[in-house]
Amino acid sequence: MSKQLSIDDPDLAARIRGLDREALAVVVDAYLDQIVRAARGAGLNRHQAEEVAQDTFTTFIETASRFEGRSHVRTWVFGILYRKLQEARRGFAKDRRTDDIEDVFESRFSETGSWSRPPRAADDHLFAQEARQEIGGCLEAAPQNQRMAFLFREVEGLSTEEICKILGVSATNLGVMLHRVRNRLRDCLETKWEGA
Amino acid sequence: MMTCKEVSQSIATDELQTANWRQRLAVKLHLLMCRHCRRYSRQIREIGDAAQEIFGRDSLDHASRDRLRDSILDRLPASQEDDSEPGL
Repeated sequence: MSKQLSIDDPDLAARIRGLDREALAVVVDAYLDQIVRAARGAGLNRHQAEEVAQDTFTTFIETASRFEGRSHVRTWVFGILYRKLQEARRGFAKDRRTDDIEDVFESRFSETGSWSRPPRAADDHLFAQEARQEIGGCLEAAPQNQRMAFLFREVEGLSTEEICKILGVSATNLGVMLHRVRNRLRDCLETKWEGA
Repeated sequence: MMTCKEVSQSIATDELQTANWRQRLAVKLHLLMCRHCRRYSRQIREIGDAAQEIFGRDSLDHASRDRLRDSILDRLPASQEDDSEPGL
């Protein structure tokens, strides 16, 4: 091998499609950690997360000959993971039109749209500390699609366009999901704060 | 004038990121005047930072990584470069 193949190589898509061993290995190496981390973030334990990661890459390899390279290979791989997670939770109410967190959010404002119950927890430093302690538990209460949207944005730093492709939603939908999950988390932290 | 509700919505949906300068300015001005929205905005940002810190450091140990990698790569079609000229 003369030159190390990189994940951003312009020939990568073609080589993936041709089931080139080196190209497929580059993809596995590039995203294995992220895929396991995302699966953990979806609420799976270590063992389950590794299993779903293995399953994801197996499907990736099986479908690689159809990879057209129109979107980034990362989008393709994360999309496979997301569908695996969805399958694992079939029956889970995924696209709920309404969400009770919307009512919670609404209830914080007066009819004119100003805060009637402004955010609590005046001390920013303590809030930051509490957020680090409680975020795992608070995130568990969120529906899976919201959770994944949040983690893809905040932890993996993916673009709006990429997250929309992975989750199969419009940008407006993604905005609604992020709004819900962030308010859910903020509300959860605030409730714990008040209970403490 | 944007209301507090509109300002917090524009923050939590990320729609501010793609907003035009007028909308951004309107939110900025509102935040200058409104401590409640400032706090809301800080908390939303803090929640993102916390997630990054807590979930971002969750990585595989070397042994599990290698094991997992090998079992995935085992399924790859056999390399053609082993017994033939490299294609490029």
